[in-house]
Formats: sequence, structure tokens, C-alpha cells
Amino acid sequence: MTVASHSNVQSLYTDHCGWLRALLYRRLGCRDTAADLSQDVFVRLLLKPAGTSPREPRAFLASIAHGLVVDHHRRRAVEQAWRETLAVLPAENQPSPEEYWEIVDALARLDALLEHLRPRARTVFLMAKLDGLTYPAIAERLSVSLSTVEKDMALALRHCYRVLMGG
Amino acid sequence: MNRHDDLPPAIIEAAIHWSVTMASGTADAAQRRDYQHWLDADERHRRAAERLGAIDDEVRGARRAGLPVTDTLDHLQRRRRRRRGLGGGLLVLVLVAVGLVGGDVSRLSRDYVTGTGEQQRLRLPGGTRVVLNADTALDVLAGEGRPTLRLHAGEILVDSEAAAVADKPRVVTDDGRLDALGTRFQVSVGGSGTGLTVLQGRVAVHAAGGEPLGEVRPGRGWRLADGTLAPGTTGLRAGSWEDGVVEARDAPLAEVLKALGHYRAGWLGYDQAVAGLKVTGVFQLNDTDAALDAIAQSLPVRVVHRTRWWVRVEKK
Repeated sequence: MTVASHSNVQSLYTDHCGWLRALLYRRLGCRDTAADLSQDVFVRLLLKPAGTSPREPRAFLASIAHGLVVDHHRRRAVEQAWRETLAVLPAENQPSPEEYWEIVDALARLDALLEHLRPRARTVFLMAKLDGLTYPAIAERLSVSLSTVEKDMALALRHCYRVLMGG
Repeated sequence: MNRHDDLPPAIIEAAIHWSVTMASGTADAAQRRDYQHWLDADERHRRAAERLGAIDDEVRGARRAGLPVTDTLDHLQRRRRRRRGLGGGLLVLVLVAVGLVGGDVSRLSRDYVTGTGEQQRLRLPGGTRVVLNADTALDVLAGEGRPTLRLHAGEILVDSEAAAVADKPRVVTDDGRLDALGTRFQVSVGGSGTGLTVLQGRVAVHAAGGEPLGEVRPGRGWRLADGTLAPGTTGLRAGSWEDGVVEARDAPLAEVLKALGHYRAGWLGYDQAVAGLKVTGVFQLNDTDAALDAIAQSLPVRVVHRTRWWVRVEKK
């Protein structure tokens, strides 16, 4: 494996940038976003530690692009849900613009982390870690036993561990 | 975290166990000491615990007092579930098939929808708690004044005891509207009209046309249909499903089977000849097979399993 070199990425960029942009345009239906994300694909490549001479460069680029498209859609969905939820708050309780976008980022990360986790385990995890509820309080609120809360919490931790370790 | 998991699964599991025990709020001094020993016993134990701690770093950025971050994530999940219902290939086929049998395809686009075996809890502005039974569809309109709950299908349990008078909810169905007056009550729709059982306090009932039909108090079940309110009971204890059981006292077998059917994948049918048999007992919703066995032992019926998904209760 070679270490990522600037020239490697440069040649990938020269050969495939137009193709990648067209691919992303088909997925997103927006030229500007497609251009932005195709740039991001090559930025990711520059940041990768090793092995950027793939035998199938287009399949490789497409798989990175796919991940970015998923993230993009997720962020948009999170932002919309956040905007709609805030709409009912009075003006004095609204977050600052900076805080607004920080939380969009944080919620998008959290949403990705908890994707595919069972609904009740997700709820338990969020109640404990985000709302700071104790396990007995969660058990009471969900009308389940303390041992169910503990099992769900263990399930959630196992899930998060695997996701964060890339397994 | 790095991308290579070099720790044995057994150590990760032990670290998860300890993390849950320590966070549960029930750990005593001896357990805390044992945890410290475990951490000190092996450098890898400490590393596993640190990695689990990194999960908190992911959550920390979203922790904001006073801002509805959890509500946002819930809202997002609900919308996804709805969209998945509308666009998810095989799942759509199954849901539509179930919807056709149940006569209610429209429930795919509701605010809150529970599927088979699911319950959901809501807390409305003002402090009212609502629990959705399985196979239920509910819209919540919470703007100015009373929150309004539009029940399209299924069954809900409403507890508005903690809510101020101005925040007491109103439940609307095809058959009329039910205004809570400081109270805990159950509403169900389906079959013939709207069922109402008040557990505490009073509920004022209006027909769909707006004419007042009176106030209902605890004591018995009522049925609102075709502009009239009449006594009517299923023989099932209202809200027993919230405790994970069907509690029947001289209930028609058909009602018990209907209640169990919401907690069972597949089709649960019965002969008309057995529909009116009276059942008394407490049946677990998380083991409907055992409930059917118990019914078969106490009544002159047999349970025919054609497949795992197709079950019919017939006369013996």
C-alpha cells in the first residue's frame, strides 16, 4: 500500500471529477450541492492515511460519495426536525445562530450513532445520557422494570461501541 | 477511538456491565470497590472503560438545558417511521395488507402510530400523559387552548390529572368529542363506535353534531355511536394493556382475542360460534401463545395453528 500522496489524489481528481459530479447530481438533483460534495470526496481522500491507489477508482470514489450523500440527507432531516421543534418555543428561548448550528451538528452525529438501535433502547439511552434521568426514573417513566432498563442500556452501549469502533 | 478493536469481546462485555452498574444509581460501596479492583487488575480493562466513556463525548455536544434536543430526535424518528411506512417496499405491502383487513389504510400518515405489539407514551404541553395501545393512530393538535387528540384507530389511555383546567385535553373521534374534566380515562375506536371508560374524574361527551350527551363517571364502560351514548362494556379492565396484560372478567372471547391480536404478528381469527363464550382471567400480552393455550384449557375451544402466522380459535 502506498501512502496517500498529493499527486495520487491529483490524478484521480483530473480523471474522475466530472464523472463524480454528474453521479452526485443524479443523486441530489442540485448542481451546487453536487459540486460541493464532489470536492468533499477529494478532501476526504487527502485526509486518508494510506492506500489511495485503488484498483477500481470509480467504485472507490462512489462509495465515499455515497457516505457523504447519506450524511448530507441526514443533516438536512435533522435540521428540519430541529427547526420545526423550535418553532413552538417563545422568541426569548430560541438558541443563538451559533448554538443552532452546533446543535444540528451534534444531533446529526448522535442520530448516525443511534441508527439501527432498537427503539426502546434508543429511548432509554437518550433519557439517561441526554436528559440525565436515573435508571429508576426511566423505569418508572417507561413502565418497565429496572433490569429491563439496564439490559437496554447495555444493548445501547454495545451498539455505540461497535459503531464508534467501525465494526 | 481507533478503528482496530484489539480488546477481547469478554473485556468489552465486562466493561459494559460495569458501566451500567455504576450508572444505575443502585451501586453500593462494595460494588464501587469491586469496580476499582477490576479497573486496576488489567490495563486493558481501563482502556475498555475509557472507550465506553468516549460514547459520552458523542452525546455531550447535544446536551443543552432548556432546548428541546430530545424532542427533536423523537420528532425526526416519528417522521422517518411515517415515511418508511409510505416508501419501504415490502413493508408497505404488509402494512397495506393489514390496513385493508383492518379497514384503515389512512393511519400511515398520522402523527403517532403504533404497530403490532407496540405502545407509545406521550407527554403533552400542560402535563397530560397519553399512552397509545398497539395498532393505534393518533394526531395531536397542541396549539392555543386545550390540546386536541384526534383518535383515528386503536386505543389510548389519557391521564390529565396533573394538567390545569385550561390544559385538559379533548379527544375527538368520528363519533363525537370527549372533554376531560380532571381525569384519567380510556378511549377506543373501531368496530361499532367509540368506547369510553372513565377511571377517575369525569368526562363530558358531545355527539359529532355538537349536542351534549352528558358526563361520564367511573364505574362502567360506555359506547358512543350514531349520536347516542349507551352503557357498553368489553369486560376487559380498562388500561390493563398498559400493565402488559389483558384482564378479563366475564368478557366475550371475541374481545379477548381482539386484544391479544394487537400483540401478535399474523392473523388471529375465530368461529362466530365461540365469539360469545365468557372468559375470566389475566393473560400476558408478551406471550400470546401461552394465553391461547390457557383459553383452550378453560373453554370448549381448540386453537388451530395452520402456520406460525395463521391461527384460528374453533369450537371443540
